[in-house]
Amino acid sequence: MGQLTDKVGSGYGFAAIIIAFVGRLNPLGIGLASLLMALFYIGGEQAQQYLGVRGSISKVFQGLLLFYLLAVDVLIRYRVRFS
Amino acid sequence: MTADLLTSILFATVVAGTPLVLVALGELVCEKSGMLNLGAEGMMALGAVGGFIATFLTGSVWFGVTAGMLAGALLALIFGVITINLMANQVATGLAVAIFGVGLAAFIGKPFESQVIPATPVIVIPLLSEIPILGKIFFQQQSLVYLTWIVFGGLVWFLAKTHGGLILKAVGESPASAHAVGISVNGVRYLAVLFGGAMAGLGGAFLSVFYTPMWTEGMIAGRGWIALALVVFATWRPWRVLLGAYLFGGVLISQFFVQSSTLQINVPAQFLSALPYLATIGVLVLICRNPQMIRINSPASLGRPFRAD
Repeated sequence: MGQLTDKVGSGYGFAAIIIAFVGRLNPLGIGLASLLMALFYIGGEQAQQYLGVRGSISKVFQGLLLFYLLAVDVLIRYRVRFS
Repeated sequence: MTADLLTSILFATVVAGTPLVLVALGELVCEKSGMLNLGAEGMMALGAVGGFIATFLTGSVWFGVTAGMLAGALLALIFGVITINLMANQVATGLAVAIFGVGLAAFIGKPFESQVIPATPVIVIPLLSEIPILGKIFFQQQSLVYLTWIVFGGLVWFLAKTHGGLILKAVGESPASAHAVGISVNGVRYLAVLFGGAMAGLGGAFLSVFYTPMWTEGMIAGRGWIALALVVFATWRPWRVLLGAYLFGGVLISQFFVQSSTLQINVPAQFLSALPYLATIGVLVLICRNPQMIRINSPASLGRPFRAD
């Protein structure tokens, strides 16, 4: 950006926590997850620019991503059995 | 003159500390049941936006407060489903709640950003408010401030003297034992999580409806995180939570008095706004400088999922 404002890096720290989880706490996975998160950021900006959707939507999607990921983890740890 | 200044500082302190008291008490109950919900910031933001919009549309403050509590509880319900039923990591889920709530609040609240609602008048309690200094601080407050004290008293009584409080603490200390004696661990945890969410929503609604009667993105300004820290540093005791919250509120408020006073003080404004955080951490660390204290007082099963089998 080439400039310093008090908004620099806002939300990046929290996004990094999501990335760590989406990357399954694996260094290689984190690399891929960070690219996914970058897509969220850019997609959010594009949606704001071209569709007039509010920018905060990207945060909503970040949260949803982590919700879904954590929620379906149960399927990895337990098997669904019909008896 | 000095007495007047002191009175107005203390008056503002109580008002600024009230949302923290509400949120931290909710979180305290939640954590007593063993559920660590780090999403207070998100639940506050959603409660603030829900409360503001409901007040703006209906014109009734109490509709707003109820809507704020519902919004906070709804977000807490998502947290409960993911952590209690699906047994996911509570820390990660809590952070997801925080990010999601803050984002959703900003998203929903955007059209209402430039709106204002009328300020809520204070309720003057006759006779008692005539007491010099103390009268203005304790008996000329907005209705929700009185309600906070009632909730606080009720909670102290509930935790210390009732069967329900004992059950709550049993679930947090040893869910397996609680389950063995026939207590529904997940049921108690759901109630505690929903209570925590509703209180966080109430704290948020206090900010947007009573404190500054408007909504702006980022108005929660980290209060949710402070409330979380208060619970830990207060070693899960309601009285210390109350003290810590008002302490934080006090330092937060005094910076405005310092800035607006005629005294020439050469301190950068940024340092002053960092001061409440420093002071709160400093004092609370002093209170619990014995690390054993936190370990002994923290609910033993805090953050651990429970599966009955």
